[in-house]
Amino acid sequence: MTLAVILAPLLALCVVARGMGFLPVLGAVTAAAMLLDRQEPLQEFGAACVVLFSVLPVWFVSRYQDDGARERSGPAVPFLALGLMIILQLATGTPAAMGNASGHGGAAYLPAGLCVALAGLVAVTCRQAMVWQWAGLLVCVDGVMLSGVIENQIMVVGVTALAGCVVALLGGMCVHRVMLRVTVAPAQGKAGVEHPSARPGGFELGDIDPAGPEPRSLGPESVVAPRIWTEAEAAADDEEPLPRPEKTDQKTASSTVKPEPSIEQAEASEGALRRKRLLDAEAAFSGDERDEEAGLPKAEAEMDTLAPHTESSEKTSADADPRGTVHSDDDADDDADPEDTERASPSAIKEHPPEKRDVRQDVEPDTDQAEAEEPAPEPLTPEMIARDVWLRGYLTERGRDV
Amino acid sequence: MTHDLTWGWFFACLLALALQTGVLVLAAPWFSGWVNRLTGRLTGERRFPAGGRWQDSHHQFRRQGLRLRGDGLSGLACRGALILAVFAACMTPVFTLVPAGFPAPGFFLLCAALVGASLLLGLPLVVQGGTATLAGYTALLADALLLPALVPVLVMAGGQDFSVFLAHLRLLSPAGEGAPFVLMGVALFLVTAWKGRLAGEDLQGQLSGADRALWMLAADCVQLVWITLAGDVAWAGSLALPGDGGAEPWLAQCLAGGAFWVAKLSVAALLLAGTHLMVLTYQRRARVRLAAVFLLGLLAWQVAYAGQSGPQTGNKTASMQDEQESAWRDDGATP
Repeated sequence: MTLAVILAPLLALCVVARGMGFLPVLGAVTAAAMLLDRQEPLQEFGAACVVLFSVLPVWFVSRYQDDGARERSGPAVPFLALGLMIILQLATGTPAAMGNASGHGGAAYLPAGLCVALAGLVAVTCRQAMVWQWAGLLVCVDGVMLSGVIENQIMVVGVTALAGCVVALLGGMCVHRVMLRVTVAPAQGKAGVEHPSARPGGFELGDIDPAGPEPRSLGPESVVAPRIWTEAEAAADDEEPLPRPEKTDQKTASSTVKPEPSIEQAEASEGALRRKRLLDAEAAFSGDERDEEAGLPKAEAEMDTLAPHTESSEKTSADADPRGTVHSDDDADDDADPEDTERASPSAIKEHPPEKRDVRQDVEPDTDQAEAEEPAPEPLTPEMIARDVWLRGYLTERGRDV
Repeated sequence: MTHDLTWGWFFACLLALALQTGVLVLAAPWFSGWVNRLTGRLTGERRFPAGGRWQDSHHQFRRQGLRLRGDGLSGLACRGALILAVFAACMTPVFTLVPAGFPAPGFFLLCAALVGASLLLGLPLVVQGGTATLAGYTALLADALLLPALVPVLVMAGGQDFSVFLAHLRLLSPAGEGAPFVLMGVALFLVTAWKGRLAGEDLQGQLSGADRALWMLAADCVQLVWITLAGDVAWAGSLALPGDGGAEPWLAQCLAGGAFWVAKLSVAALLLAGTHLMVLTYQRRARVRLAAVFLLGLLAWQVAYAGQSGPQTGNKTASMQDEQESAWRDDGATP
């Protein structure tokens, strides 16, 4: 009879009352209860299994979004579990019942494993959310394992370990099938690393316009842009040989003009900031990741347009971005402003002559190129579409609630 | 436990009791402010520092009160609540127990004093009327039902003196044989867990002036006494027992007991702040609290019963014999 044996049913009650978050603690306490009882291979195996079965599922679920399932069962459920525990204790813990059982004479006795399993069963029966029921099943597994280890039943421990594997696997597959991942697009490169953690699945109502959310990556630019990009790529391939000699000329010319670049670059970065802010406002919530990612290449492209003679900007963008130089040669008199207006009204792109499309493509396709280099382009994954559908339903529900 | 209660020990115990009462009453607002601040930290709000509660009480005490309808009765209730709370604090061991011959109250008296204080604290709300009357009646009902809910815990402690009960528990390790009493401590802790600051905020909003200060102090005292009781029952080993050796080991044990008390309080503050995170309506909170206290107490009693059934009767008779012997000795000494 140790403190861990007492605490395990309490933590199982916490799982019933509050959810899956208490499962790792329950696993740790159950393992401690096993190891404090005796230290033999059976106990160690049971403790390892219990810790695995309670830590891994929680870690697995933490990679998915909260499914927002509405729970209709009230706060009376843990008390049902507690009452059942008391009845169980009454049936097994009284001296009359313990007179038959051997080995417990005199000492305080609590059938902790059975209590934990009972709490798990109550969670499975009375809670409606899938994850919660899964947690209840795992609690059951923990409890049966604890009771098997304490009673030193090898068969029980083995069968429970097998059942635990099955429950964990099936539950994990169900979760994977039903719930949505927190990191939506793993192919987002550098921006994908920092963003999903900063905004894990939940959306504030504040950054959604009242008319309803624009579905992610189904905006006009993302639909239009790839086609334009392919056209522009073809055009750039055609015009590829043209800029080369001029570029060398520019290099020689720019080598003579040294003090200019700092000022020009400052202007360029200001323009990039302005543009980035505009883009942020334009793509209300969906495009954030792309914008951040696109910030650097865009700035480079802009340096091309604004300061075509600076050597540094030439060096950085010459190999990756020949179209920028093409554009700078074609529309050297055009400054950054028309691009802004064009991006603000993407429908106007189609009416522009081809060289105007070029003007667009040196800003927009940069982002698209960065994405297109990745294996999964955004608008096409079924995961994204499923997410859009879900997000719409979720947000309308949230709006109705509010 | 066959300790000869000399006059020196008697006065030392009186001094220790006075010290314990003072520490409890003075630390109560600090603890309350601490829990409040911790709750704010957990929920991401900025709240007053821990000493703010004490300053608030002090400030309210010097203010002129508004004379409202029923203010006389509510002022009386506040004073009565504070007296009962201080009485309960006087009976609660903080860092030391009292020796066997010393007059010590039973656990039932302690709980009854605390519940009475809670009832008196709920009275001003009902007296003054207004929108909060319903909440006041709910609080009164919940506090009145608390004593029946505490029955399993009271049965565990039995009819013996609380100090004697704790002296028995002192020998059991909380991680081993004394584990059921940790459950009992949890049940006692839950008495205050869903008492809730929200209800308290509602209540004291009706009062003003010195009554308000007394109300706040009494509420904090009741909370801290419940927490201290729970800590004592959960781990009685930290309490010093006079008469084991000389006076010096006792003093050292007292110091260690004080340190352990602070540690227990910090754990309890964390848990309390955690329970404040649960959002429940007032009626539901009262129901949850009563059910949790009763069922956990019942479970603790059942778990302890198997271990206690045999030896405890022996212990009980032994302790009664001890008491009788000491009483005889007192009787023999006094004439």
